[in-house]
Amino acid sequence: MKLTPLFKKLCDAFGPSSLEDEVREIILNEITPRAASVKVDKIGNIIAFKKGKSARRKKLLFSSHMDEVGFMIRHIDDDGYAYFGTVGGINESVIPGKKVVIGENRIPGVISAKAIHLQTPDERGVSPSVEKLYIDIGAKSKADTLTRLCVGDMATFAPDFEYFGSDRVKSKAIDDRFGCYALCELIKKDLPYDAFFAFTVQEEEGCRGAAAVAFGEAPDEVVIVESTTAADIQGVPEHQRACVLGQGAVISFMDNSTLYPRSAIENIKTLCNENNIKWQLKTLVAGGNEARVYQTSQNPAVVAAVSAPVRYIHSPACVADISDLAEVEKLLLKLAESGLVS
Amino acid sequence: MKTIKRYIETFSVTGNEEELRELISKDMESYADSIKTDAMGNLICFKKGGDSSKKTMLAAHMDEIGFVVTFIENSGLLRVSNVGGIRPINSAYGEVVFKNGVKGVIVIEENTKPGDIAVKKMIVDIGAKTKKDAEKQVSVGDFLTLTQRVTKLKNKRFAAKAFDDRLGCAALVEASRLVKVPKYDTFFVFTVQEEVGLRGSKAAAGGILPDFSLACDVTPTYDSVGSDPGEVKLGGGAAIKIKDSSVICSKVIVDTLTRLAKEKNIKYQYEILNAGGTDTASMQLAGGGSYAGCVSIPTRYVHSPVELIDLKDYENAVALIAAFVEEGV
Amino acid sequence: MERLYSLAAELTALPSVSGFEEAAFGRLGQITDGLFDEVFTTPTGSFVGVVKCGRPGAGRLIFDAHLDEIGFIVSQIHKDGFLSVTNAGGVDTRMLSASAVTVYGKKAVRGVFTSIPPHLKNPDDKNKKLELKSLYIDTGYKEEEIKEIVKIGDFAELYSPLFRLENGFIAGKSLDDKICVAQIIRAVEKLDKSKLSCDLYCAFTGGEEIGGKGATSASYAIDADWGVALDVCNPKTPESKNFLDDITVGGGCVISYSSTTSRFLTKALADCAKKHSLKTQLKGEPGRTGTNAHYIFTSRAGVPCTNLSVPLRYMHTGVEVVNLSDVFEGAVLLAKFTEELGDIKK
Repeated sequence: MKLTPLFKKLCDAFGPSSLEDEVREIILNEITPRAASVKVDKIGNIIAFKKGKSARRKKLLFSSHMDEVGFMIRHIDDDGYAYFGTVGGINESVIPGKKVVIGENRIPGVISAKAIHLQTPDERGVSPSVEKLYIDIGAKSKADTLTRLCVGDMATFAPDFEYFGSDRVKSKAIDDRFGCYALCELIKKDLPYDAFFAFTVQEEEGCRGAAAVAFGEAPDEVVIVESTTAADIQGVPEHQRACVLGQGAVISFMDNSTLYPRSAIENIKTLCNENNIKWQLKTLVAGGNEARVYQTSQNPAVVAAVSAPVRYIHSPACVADISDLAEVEKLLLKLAESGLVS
Repeated sequence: MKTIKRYIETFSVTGNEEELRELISKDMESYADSIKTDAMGNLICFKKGGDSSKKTMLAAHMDEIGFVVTFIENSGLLRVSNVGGIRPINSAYGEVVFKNGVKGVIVIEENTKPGDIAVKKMIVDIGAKTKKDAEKQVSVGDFLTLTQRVTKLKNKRFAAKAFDDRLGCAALVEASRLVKVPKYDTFFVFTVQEEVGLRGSKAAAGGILPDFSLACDVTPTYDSVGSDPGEVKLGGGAAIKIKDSSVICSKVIVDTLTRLAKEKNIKYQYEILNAGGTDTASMQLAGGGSYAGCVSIPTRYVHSPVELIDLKDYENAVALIAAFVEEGV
Repeated sequence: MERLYSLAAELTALPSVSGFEEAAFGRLGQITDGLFDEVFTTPTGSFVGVVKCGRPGAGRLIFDAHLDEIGFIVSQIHKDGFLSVTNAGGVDTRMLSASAVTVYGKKAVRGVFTSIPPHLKNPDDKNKKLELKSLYIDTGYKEEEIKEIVKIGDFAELYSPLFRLENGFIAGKSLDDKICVAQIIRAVEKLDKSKLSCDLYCAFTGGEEIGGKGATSASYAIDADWGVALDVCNPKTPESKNFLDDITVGGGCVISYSSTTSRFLTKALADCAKKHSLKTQLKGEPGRTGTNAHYIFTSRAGVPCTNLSVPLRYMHTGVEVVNLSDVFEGAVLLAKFTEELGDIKK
């Protein structure tokens, strides 16, 4: 089983927080022919209106974010190595030993750390702090590096999209290019009722784009389409796994920034059960997403989060199960028909 | 105390404030000109004032801290996460009650070292024999809290789970009854989800955009054994908040409250809190900003099952809030 | 630079502790008299002056510099006139022992933070953190006397009048961020109003040190189209980190790219500096800028913004150091940027 080529295109695209241009281009090309109106607001969010067969009494908005976690160059030393900081939450342990692409010209580089033979016994096995890490682009000197990139340029993990195993996929940025993909595909369908769609910027640094959309669009109901951490790996006790690959769309009842209204959750469960859509509840209170800003805005919305379970989020090799992605897409179509609260 | 008791004995863990909202709505019916509930569940009671050129917003939160079920073990024991600021030691080995009335006890995993005590080490036992047995009565996503009760002590002092912040809600209701005509158009707002980050008040204040705001919440005292240095004491009167870690109260509100307390012989004290946050912050930041302050009720052992107050402090707070609504800034 | 120095000296002496900025509004109004077409304030301590371009429907540009400074709030009054205080903003307790302060009660009085004499210190305590609750302000008065002047809730701040060092360097307290307030005032004085195509809102905002409160309110009230946050930033010093190696005091104002601001506006600022041969330095800020740009960006339906910083050593002490030439060139840049804003295309 595979998803359409759009999914790979979106995952491969370069789009660290504040530099979502390439992703924005792809999405605009996909949806503009199929939406009644598409606009890009002052700070770069895409807001699209899809006309349905009939008008909807309440304003329903689907939201996903275009940006991915990444890096920003902070300092180039005398030998031409580029020191950096992280953009969005990246675990220190996934950074060393990886390939990256930098800036406008997508210059390839590698991040590594001191070779094992040179490490002291205390250093062995310990993830170096981000400040100690640097990107090597194969430059001859500082001046050489400066002809190709400079302080302030941004980088992401290098794309390496692959279907593997039994109906599984690995790629960078499944969070949240899967959400963008799902919403693009939804806009391309014929929908029974009107719906709004937001593709936001700067989510990874605090849901910043969504805050502007919440104020500007003032929706009544919002469905956040996200990817959420699945810790269903060897060595993690059952009660800490949060969600499991292959068990369907993940519905959240609570995370660190939002309590999801009971009524919406019950409706979603019913929709799934009536339409043979596999679902699971997230069994851990952790993380947070754009629901927070839509719920606490001047015009508070009823919110729900529908997610794909993804292992190793915020790494170059996020892993997801195709069947889960398909279940999320099915659920979104049903939500577009019925809304969040009857 | 009757109103307070009724509120305390109503389940209202963050996110589940409906029952309490019903009660308060009924109590405010005869006073308010209009009552509505917003999409988050905040209860907004409007009373027209003598001067409609400005708006006053009052806030007290309906929610109490508690727990939520995250996982049901095969043994029928339940894993939980905290809802709001729970200190495990304050909550362990007590009786709990679920929203649907089911009873249980909350304990800490056996052989947990004192330094490792955390909510993720807490287990709820409802007496179930297996997972299937437990699922007959509870599910993942169910909310629970320590069983609510009020204990009468000496000197008009009481201990309860939980005064925070049903006491504030009762104070707003009682204050409303003392005010014939508020100085400005006034919104008595009973907020939701304060304990998880002042969420309800953000939305409510954004919808109202007040000029003046006053919250009513509990505040810890510094007069117990081992307390940090500080001035707030039980029996010292209504506490006029200077600051907490979420807000520095507007000088004009602090000065107005001080003046009113002196004029009307209301016992008062000043409150400085180096931790904690209140709905005051949300209201101060709404739109282009509002002048905001808070009248707090001194409470020992906040966020424990035995929060302790002096009823006279509560009565002074009610009088001060009523004076503020009636005479304003 | 004389004008800049005297502005800085006046502004840094103004009492404007976070949460109590209103105390400075009166004098600030006098200092900026004649500069603005309109002035308004917010309940969260912001003072906003507007320069109108006269065109109907003109866009709105915000220059934000925060007016507030870190300080102290009286929490207890003890015997022998000692005061306990709590902090307003991020106070560096290592700097306080034996430092002079001004306490603003019914009148302003001088005080000194206590210092434990060496023979009473425990050698084991050398690495223990010094907490504000172990420090007291010695007012020199008896308890009954000080209680007539000061009450709980009054504010206090460091006493450290501005003074000059060599080569255009100056030192004092609250240059964070009043040196940028001075910078904005100089920019407005240098502005060629005939070239203006937008309305300029100079927001001297409150509460930045306690969470951007004034900027949040001011941005909401202004409803702007672009914003530039002016603040100070850490430069290279003997103890600093490698990513500050290229930022020096005297090297010009700092233009920062950040994942939390708008790259196109940052580039426009950089291009403007290049066009006018103004000295600037470049910084990569991966996450939060730590400035009010953080709050302006998410205001209302979003406001594209960026941040321009004055390099400053020893932030949050009574001896903050900047170089006046950085501030002056930054003011010229701001004036040019405003005049040429119409040319910016996204």
